[in-house]
Order: sequence, then structure tokens, then C-alpha cells
Amino acid sequence: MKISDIFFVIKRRFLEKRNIIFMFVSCFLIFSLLISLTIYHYFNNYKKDELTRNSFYRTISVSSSITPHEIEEIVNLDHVIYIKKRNQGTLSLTMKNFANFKDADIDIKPLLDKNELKIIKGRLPQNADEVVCATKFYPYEIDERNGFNHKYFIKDKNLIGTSFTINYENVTKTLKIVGTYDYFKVMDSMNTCYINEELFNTLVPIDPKNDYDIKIDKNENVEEVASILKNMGINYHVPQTSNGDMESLKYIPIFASLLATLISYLVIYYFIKKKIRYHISDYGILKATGYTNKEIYKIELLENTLIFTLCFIITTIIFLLVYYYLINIPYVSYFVFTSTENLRLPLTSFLLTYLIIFILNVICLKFLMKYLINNRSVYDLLEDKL
Amino acid sequence: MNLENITKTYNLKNEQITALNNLTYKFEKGKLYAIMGHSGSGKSTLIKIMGLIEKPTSGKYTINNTDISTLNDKELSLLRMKHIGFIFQEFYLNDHLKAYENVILPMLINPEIPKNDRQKRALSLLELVGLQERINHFPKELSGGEKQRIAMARALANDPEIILADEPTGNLDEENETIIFNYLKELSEKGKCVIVVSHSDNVKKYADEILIIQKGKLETHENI
Ligand SMILES: Nc1ncnc2c1ncn2[C@@H]1O[C@H](COP(=O)(O)OP(=O)(O)O)[C@@H](O)[C@H]1O
Ligand SMILES: [Mg+2]
Repeated sequence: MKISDIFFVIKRRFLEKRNIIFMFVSCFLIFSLLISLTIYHYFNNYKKDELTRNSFYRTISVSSSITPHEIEEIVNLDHVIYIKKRNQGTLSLTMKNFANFKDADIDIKPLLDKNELKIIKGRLPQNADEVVCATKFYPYEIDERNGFNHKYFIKDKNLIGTSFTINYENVTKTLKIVGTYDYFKVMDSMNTCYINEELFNTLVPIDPKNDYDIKIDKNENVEEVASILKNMGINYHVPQTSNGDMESLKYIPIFASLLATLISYLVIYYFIKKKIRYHISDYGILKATGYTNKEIYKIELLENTLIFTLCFIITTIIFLLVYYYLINIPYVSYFVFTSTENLRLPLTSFLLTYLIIFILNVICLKFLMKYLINNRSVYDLLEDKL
Repeated sequence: MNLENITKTYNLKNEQITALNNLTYKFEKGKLYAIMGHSGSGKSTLIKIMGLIEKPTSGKYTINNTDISTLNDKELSLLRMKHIGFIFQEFYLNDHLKAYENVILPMLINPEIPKNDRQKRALSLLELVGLQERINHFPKELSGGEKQRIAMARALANDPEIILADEPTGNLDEENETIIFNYLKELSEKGKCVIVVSHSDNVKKYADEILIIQKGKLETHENI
């Protein structure tokens, strides 16, 4: 039986009410599956990051300021692999080669407070106390309207301190870049902040955050290095590895996926059963005129697959809209997407979702066919006696 | 078609009904058989067994020397498709398909009818039963007699050798009844085996053989 012939059988009943309800429910199921699998995907990736970072190594965090000389001393200790400035988890401005801020990450908030500056939006800085930034970032909202064309100062490592003449709503101003902030660790014009040129050199510096992480080769050697640091008079603490926490958290999305699969199974089973039972006398007619059980199975299979495919397309569109809405809220993206690798769409969760739904469809259908159609006489089907 | 000691019993909650009791008969091509008898005597049961719609409880049923009980679903379906056209008392039309689509339905699985010929063939069959003006109607928009004629056109879709009709004229007026009987007679004269269950005495005028069934047993048969 060709697919076009199957279409002939189902064409007029495809959009009947029960199928539409089935589609709504399927969309919801697919959406929940997609979400739980995607969350699982991120957990897994996050965990992989953590693992590569932390599987062998342990970290000692240094919170007091240390001199370059001390840094050199620490690097030369046994068991120390490297020492590096900690990735700032909070929002900070990177200020390179500028006045007293030498290559430092500075918390935005204290900088603004100390200099009595405020971040403005929707216009160029007019007063001496105003800073404007290119894109929005949490918790500040900065304007990104058309007049602000960032294109012409893209990807310059030495942005800080450079002047720009910007024309915005008929006002021409010369601004200087006071710093760049980023959460993807890329320096470009999208994450620059500007203030008036006159103000630039009068900025009062604040203490840059200078936390360091010392990587130790093995767990057993942490104590040894720590005691040396103690003797040097350096404040430190040994963070607990977060692997344990992540391990147990990981089960939430796995559990959610399994639950979504189980509920999908029950719902799909229920709807397919209802659908077959509703059409059972039609299938009796088909059998009476010579259709085999296999051909009836194919008709149901195609109809259901069509329903699921349609739902999958609709749900994917909704999912993508939600997804891109979410990653454009910097607060969310800052915490969810720790690297650009993670930013890629989790294609596996799409494939897996469709695979799960398709397999559930086949399993339910095979079982229901046996139970509702195959073992019954044509007359039972026609009369719909069960 | 050969029926040998066919028995059919229905198991109800606390009783067993014997609808057919040890029935033996041989049907031949080119004849019109009329099956008559009181209501509840087992006529429908007999014709359903012959149309492979129900299975006998015991006994041997052969079509073209093939024992039905040895066949699987695929082989049974092939037999139904190629050799049997069934006209039900209750019509059993597909409600969401138009009249001509109902007639096309059995052709979809017949590789001998090319795709492009299906529609033409369906229309000519509907014309034959006088329904050319109703081809685009859905069953619920049609009268009982019209539905009966669609069911008839559908039964003929794959040009079967055996045509089984369970009270085909039960819902029709005399004029329509005559049309149907004439047509069934014509089919039998073309070499097909036509078996008609009917209450109507008019069927006697057309029948080559009359079988009277009483309480599941073949009472008499007359050759005319
Ligand atoms: N599906 C069934 N379940 C139980 N009893 C049935 C069923 N079909 C028919 N019967 C019984 O079998 C007997 C013969 O029925 P049927 O063949 O329909 O008679 P007819 O067509 O001659 O009126 C009746 O007593 C009827 O009640
Ligand atoms: Mg009857």
C-alpha cells in the first residue's frame, strides 16, 4: 500500500476534533521532553567542564593581595601546576593599560559608587557623572538603539582609553571607553562602556579584585602547599569540589526526562487506543474488503507519525523562540552558558525526543493492534464489540 | 465454494446459541442462490462465514479448493479482496468518505487496478447502480436505498467472483428492489456466484436455487 493511498484513507478524518486534541497534548509532551533533555544536556556539559577542570587537580584560593614576587615563589613550589587570576564570577569591567587600573577586573558596582557615576540609557552621556554601555547586561539596562553604531570599533584589544566621536540623535559627543565587560570573554564593541572624555582621566581608582587560584596536582598535596602558604602569611581557603553536588543534581533532569517519557507513553497509549476504538468499524470495513492487519497498522502508523511530526515542528519553533529569548536575557545566559560551546543548540535532545516519541508510537500501536484488531473477527470489528 | 458440516455457536453469559448446525452445501459459479428463512434462523451467520467475516466454530469451508482454516491473515485478506464482494444489511459505509471514495477504497489494495483507472472505475460502477448524481455526497446525506447501492458498487470494486448480499433490498421500495435483483441476476449470468439472503418472496423469481434455513439447519433446497 503506497503512502498516497494511505493519505486517501485518512485525508478527511485527519483534522477531526480528537486528532486536534491529540496534537495539543502531544505538543505539550514533546515540549516537556525537549526541555528536560536539554537541561540534562547542559548539566552533562557543565559536569564535563567541571570534570576536566577538577578531576585531578585541586584548587587553593588566595584572597589576600599578593606581590609578583610571591607569585613567582608559589609557582616554583612543588605540586603547584600554575597560579592564575580567578575568572570573575560577578560582573566586572576589564580595565587594561589605564591609569591605575593595570590589567584588572573591577567590579562595576564599586567603581560606579566610588566615582558617583550612574549608568544611563537611551541617550549619550551629558553630565559628568554618566556612563553608557553598549548592550544590556544584568542588572543594568543599557540602550541598544540604532543610533549607536558599534560596528566601526570592533575587536580591538586596546579599546580602553580610546576616544570616539559618536553622533546620536543630532548630538555629537566625544566619549572614551572606560572599560569592557563581558561574559563570553570576547572583547568587542558590544561590551564596552563609555563616559565623557573630560571625565576619563579624573576617575578615582578602586582596588581591583585580585583573587588567585593555585592549582595543585593531587588531592593529597593540598595540605602541604597550604602550610607553606600559611607560613608566607597568605590568606587562603580550600574550596570544596562541587562534583558531589552536581552528581546528585544531575538526577533531576534524568528523572524529569524519564517521567516525561512515562507520561508520554501513558498519554500516547490512551489517545491511540481512543482513536483506534473510534475508527474500529471503519477498520472492520477495510478488513471486510480485503485489507490486511498490516495495512491497517500502516494507516495508523502514518497518521500518528504525521501528527507527531506536525507537533514536533510546532514545538521546535516554540522551543527555539523561548530558547533565544532566554539566552538574550544576559542574567540567564551568564549562568547557563558558561562557554560558547554550550551555546550551541542541543541537537541531540531534539533527535532523542523525536526518537522517543516515535518508538512509543510504534510500541503502543503494535500492542493495541494486537489487542484491538488482529485477534478479532471482522464482524466484531464492524459491530465494535469488545 | 464448499461448506462441510459447518457449525457456529455463540457463547453468551449463561447459554450457548447454535446459530448454524452441521450445515453442508456446495455453491457453484454462474448461479444465483437465494437463502430464505425466519428471522434468527442463521441466514446472516451463514453468509458472514462464507464472506470470511466470521469463522465457523467447526466444519470445513473451502473456496476454490483452499481450506480456509489453514490460511493466515494475509492470505485470508487476499481472498476477500480478490474473490469476495460483500453487501451488508447495515451497509457499513465509511462515513467520512464521499460516495465515490467509498467505492475506491477496496481498489487501493488491488495492484491489478492502476491508480489512474480507480476514479473512472468507481464512477462507472456508481452509474451502473444509478447513483451518478450522488457521487460527491457523504453517506449521511443519502437515503437507505442510496447507501445500499453504494455498498453494492463497493462490493463490485475489485470484480469478485463471489457476491454475497445480506438482505440487500430490506430497506428498498419495490422499484429499487427490482433494479437490484435484476442487476444481481445479470452478475450471475456473467458467471459469478451470487448468494442473496432475503425475506422478500420476489427473490424467488430470480433465483436459480433456493435454500431455506430453519434453526441453523438447511431445511430444503429447490432447483428452479
Ligand atoms: N454476535 C452474536 N452473538 C450472539 N448471538 C448471535 C450473534 N449473532 C447472531 N446470534 C444469534 O444467532 C442466531 C442466528 O442469527 P442470524 O444469523 O443473524 O439470523 P438471521 O439473519 O437469519 O435473522 C440468532 O439466534 C441470533 O440471536
Ligand atoms: Mg440477518
